[in-house]
Amino acid sequence: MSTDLILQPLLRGDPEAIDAWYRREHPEVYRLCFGFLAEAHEADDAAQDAMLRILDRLPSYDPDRGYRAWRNTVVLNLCRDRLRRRGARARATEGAMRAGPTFAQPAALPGPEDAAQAAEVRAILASALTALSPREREAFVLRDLQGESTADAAEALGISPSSVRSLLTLARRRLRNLLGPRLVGLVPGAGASPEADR
Amino acid sequence: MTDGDRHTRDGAPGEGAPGEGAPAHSDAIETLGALWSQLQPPARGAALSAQDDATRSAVAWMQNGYAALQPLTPSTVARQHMARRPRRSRRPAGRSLAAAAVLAVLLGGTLALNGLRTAPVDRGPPRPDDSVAVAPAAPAAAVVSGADAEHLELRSGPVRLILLTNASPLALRNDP
Repeated sequence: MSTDLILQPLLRGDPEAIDAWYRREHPEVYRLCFGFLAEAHEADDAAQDAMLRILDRLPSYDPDRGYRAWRNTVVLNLCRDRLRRRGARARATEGAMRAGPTFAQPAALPGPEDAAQAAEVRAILASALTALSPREREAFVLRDLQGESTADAAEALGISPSSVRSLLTLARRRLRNLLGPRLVGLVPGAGASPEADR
Repeated sequence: MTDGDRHTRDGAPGEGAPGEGAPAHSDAIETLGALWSQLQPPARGAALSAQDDATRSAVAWMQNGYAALQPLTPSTVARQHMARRPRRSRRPAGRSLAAAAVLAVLLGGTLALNGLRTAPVDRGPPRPDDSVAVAPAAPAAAVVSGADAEHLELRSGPVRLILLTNASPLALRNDP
């Protein structure tokens, strides 16, 4: 069954289909907003706006393009608008490059699976994302965090795939330098280990 | 899909006996959910194999933290917010457009009529009276054309003014 057929109940306005769609999409759209905005509370607000915008614009969605790519573009544009409005793009670029992340170093990073440390994880994520330039952040979120293909990320960003790869290289290097000192003893994907504590 | 995710319409008007049409609908929603899940992208990190260990670790931590992110506002609250907010509809816009069009037509018609009224009409050689507003001649002095105990009638050319009063008309007449 194609995405187009899956979206048909949404286009018809079936309330239960909208409910099911919302339940599955909202967390992911929130993560996208968080990634692009690097701010938890604004991301929460933006995610709700984005869900409404996606639903409103669904009739104009082109099935040939692919739903995820189209949705990512809608969310990206909304987040760019928000950043533009509050001037955070400039602040994120200038402020972060000079000041660096605000979390305390060199304590070990918490494990993301630890619910009690969710707020700290969120804060570190936001700080790390803020350390990237807006373009680097967008490429990193779409490609490495969302798992989109380089081609889809390039289409959403309106740049070439090679530019996406360049941005990714810069973003990963910056994150390695930023998080590296706190990753000692961490197994990728396993969160913090007791040995990680200095 | 958990029980909490299931939706039924038992008792809804026009749906037939409870449980008759709802399971099929729930199945359809469940199928929709399953299909939707299939749209998820492949596992992240596949392109990181060429990176060094430190980079892989940093990106992996970011990926795990990102995947664990949950909205601050639960989806249920957000859905209620969305349900309360009226969907953008094209009807009001259409109505507004139609109202604006009608208003424009009426306004245009009025202006056109006014234009016709004020348009110069060929009345032969121009006369000063046609283009220059002429002040009315000074009214003739008002004349008391009638008076009795309860009313006083003043007349000035074609205009008659009747004043009803309890006062004596003679007293009014003598007022400055």
